[in-house]
Amino acid sequence: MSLEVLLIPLGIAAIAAIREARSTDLCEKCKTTRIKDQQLLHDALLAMGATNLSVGQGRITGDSPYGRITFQRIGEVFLGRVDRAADHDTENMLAALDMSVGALLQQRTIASLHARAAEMGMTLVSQTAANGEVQLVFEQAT
Amino acid sequence: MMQKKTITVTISASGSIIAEASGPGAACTDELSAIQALLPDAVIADSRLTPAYFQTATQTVANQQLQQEGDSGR
Repeated sequence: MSLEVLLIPLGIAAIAAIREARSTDLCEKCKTTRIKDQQLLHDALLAMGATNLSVGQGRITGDSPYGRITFQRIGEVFLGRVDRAADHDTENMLAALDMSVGALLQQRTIASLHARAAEMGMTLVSQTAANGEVQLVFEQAT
Repeated sequence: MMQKKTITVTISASGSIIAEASGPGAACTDELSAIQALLPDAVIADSRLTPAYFQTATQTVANQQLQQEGDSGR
């Protein structure tokens, strides 16, 4: 038997939820992200270099290398913007945020895999990194 | 002889995960359970049987046919 599975980490949304999110009066000129989890957003913003973050119910504001930023949860996902800035500034900030989220999720998944594999009695055969991807191979006697 | 189940997990720069399980037996639910147990903080978005599965299935059928032909030829 050989089976291949695509998985999405908790904390980020499937494509459909991202498409459904739209800018509203709550966050005018905001653009959508794929982030559902507020803590993940907070951590990714810090990793991206954001400072003075203020966290409320479904809302984060603060300073960033791109200027003052605002994020608001609309439906399932967060939308965000650089305040009083052109659209391309927001797009650049969100692109950097997305890379930061990806790196965080990758690190967390690897750490979780090591822990779970040990609990399940699986042996890590190899761990390699190339082109931004990390591949781990586990074996378990049956 | 002891047989081994192998799970290969590839995590992309965006954080998405592809897990491939292979091993003895024909129960894909076992493979799926193992992947879910290994990755409890992720949800399954899609799954498929790999070409290796179909190759194995084809070989099994071919072997059975050869065996039947051998049996009937005796």
